[in-house]
Amino acid sequence: MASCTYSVPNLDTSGDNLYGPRICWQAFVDWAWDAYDFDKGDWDEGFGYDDVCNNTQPLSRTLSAIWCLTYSSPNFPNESYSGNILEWGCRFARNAIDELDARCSRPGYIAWTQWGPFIDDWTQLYLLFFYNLSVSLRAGTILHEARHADGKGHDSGDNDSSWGYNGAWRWHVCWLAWFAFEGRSSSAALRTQAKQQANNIINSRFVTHPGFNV
Amino acid sequence: MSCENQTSGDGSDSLEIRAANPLFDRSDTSWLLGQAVRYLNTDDKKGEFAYARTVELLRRCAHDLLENVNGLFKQVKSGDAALRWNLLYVLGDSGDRSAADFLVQTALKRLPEVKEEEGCQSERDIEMLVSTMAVHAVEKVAARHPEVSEAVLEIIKNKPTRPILIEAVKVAANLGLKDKARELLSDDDAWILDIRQARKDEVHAEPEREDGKERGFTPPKSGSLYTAPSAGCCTSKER
Repeated sequence: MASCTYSVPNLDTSGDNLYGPRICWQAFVDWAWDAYDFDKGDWDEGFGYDDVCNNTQPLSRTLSAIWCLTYSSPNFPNESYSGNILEWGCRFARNAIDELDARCSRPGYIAWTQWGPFIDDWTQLYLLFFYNLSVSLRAGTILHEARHADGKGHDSGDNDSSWGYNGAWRWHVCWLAWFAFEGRSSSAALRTQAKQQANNIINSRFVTHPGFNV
Repeated sequence: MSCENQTSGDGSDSLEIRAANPLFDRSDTSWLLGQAVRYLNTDDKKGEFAYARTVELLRRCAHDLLENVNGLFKQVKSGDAALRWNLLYVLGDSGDRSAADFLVQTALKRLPEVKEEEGCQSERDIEMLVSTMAVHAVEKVAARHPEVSEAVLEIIKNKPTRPILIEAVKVAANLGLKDKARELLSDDDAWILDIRQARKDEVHAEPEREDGKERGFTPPKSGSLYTAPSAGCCTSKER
C-alpha cells in the first residue's frame, strides 16, 4: 500500500467548480458506481468515498469526467453506434471497463489498463489524472483506457501506426474533437483545451500523420 | 506531489490533500485575472459577457498584467498546468505587445523528456498543452498588435518538438507569414504546410459495434428529459 499527498490545484481552471455540483446527485452516483464497477476499498482512505461531493477529492473528480463523457452530446440520450463518438463514447466506456480503481501513482503514468485472458482486468487512475487534467481531458482519457480495456493496444510502442488502425489515439482524438465541436454545458476553456489536445495527439501519436488537424 | 512506496496492482492506497495557497490576492490586477479565469470556465452567456468585460478592463487598466501573470507562473512553478494554460489564454486576449516575448519563451520551454517506461500519456503531454496555448496566445496578441506577428517565427526558428512546431506554422499561416515560415522549415518538415483542416464528418472513429443487447446501465436522465411528475421535496409519511 502506498500513501501520498497532493496540493489541490485551482478548481475553476480544472473545470471542477463547473462539473462538481452536477455529480452531487444520488441517482447519478448510484448509476456510475455500478456502471463503472467502483469498489469502496479502491476509493476510500482519502480518495473520496466518504465525501463524494467534495470536488477536491479524486472520486468527485472522476465522476465529473464520467458526467462529461455521458451528458456532453446535444443528442443525449441517443447512444446509438451509428451516431458520432460524443454520443456513444460513454456507452462504450462503461461496457468495456471492467473496474475503475484509484491509486497514488505509477511513475510517469496518468492511467493504466490491464487486460487479457486469465488475468484480472482493471483500469487504474493516478494522481496525475485526478489533479493535472481538466475535466474534459479526464473524460477523453477514460475513453482512451476503455479502448484498451476492449483489447486494443497501441501497435507502435505507445503510439498508433496510423489513423486506419482505429486505436485508442484515434478514438481519443475523435471524442475530444466532437466535444470541442458540439459539447454542451461546458466552458470555452474546456472546449479549446480539448481541440488543442486533439491536435497535439494527431501531431505526435501517429507514426503516419493523417494529414489533417481538427 | 509526494508518494511513499509505489502503487502496486492490488491493495489500496491512501491520500492526504493539502490546501493550496491563495493565488489572486497580490494586487488589483491579480484579482481581475482571477475573475477572468473564473468567467472563462463558466458555461453560459452571462459568464461569456462577464469574461469579455473583464478582458476589456485588463486591456485598459492593467499595465502590470504581464508582471502578474509572470508572478503567478513563478508561484505555481511547474504545478497546476490548467491554471497556467488559462492564464495564457487570458494573456492572449488581454496582453499588449510586451506579452509576445513571454509567450514565445513559454512556447519554447523545455518539455519533460520522453521516457521508456511511461504510460500512453504523461506529464510531457500536459506541459505540451501549456506550450500550445502559448503559441495560440501569440496569434491573439498579434491580431491586435500586428507589429509582433513575427514573434511566431522565433518559435519556428528554434525547432521545437513537432506538435508545437506544427501549431506555430499554422499560426504563422493565419497571420499571413506562410512564405516566411516555409523559408524556416527544413525539407523534412515542409509537409507541415500541407496539413489541412478536417471536415467534421472525417473525424470519425469506427466503434466496431452494432446496436444490440449489450447496452446496459442506461444513465439517469435529468432536467427537461424527465417527463414524470415530481413528488416534491417534502412529502411526509403517514403515521
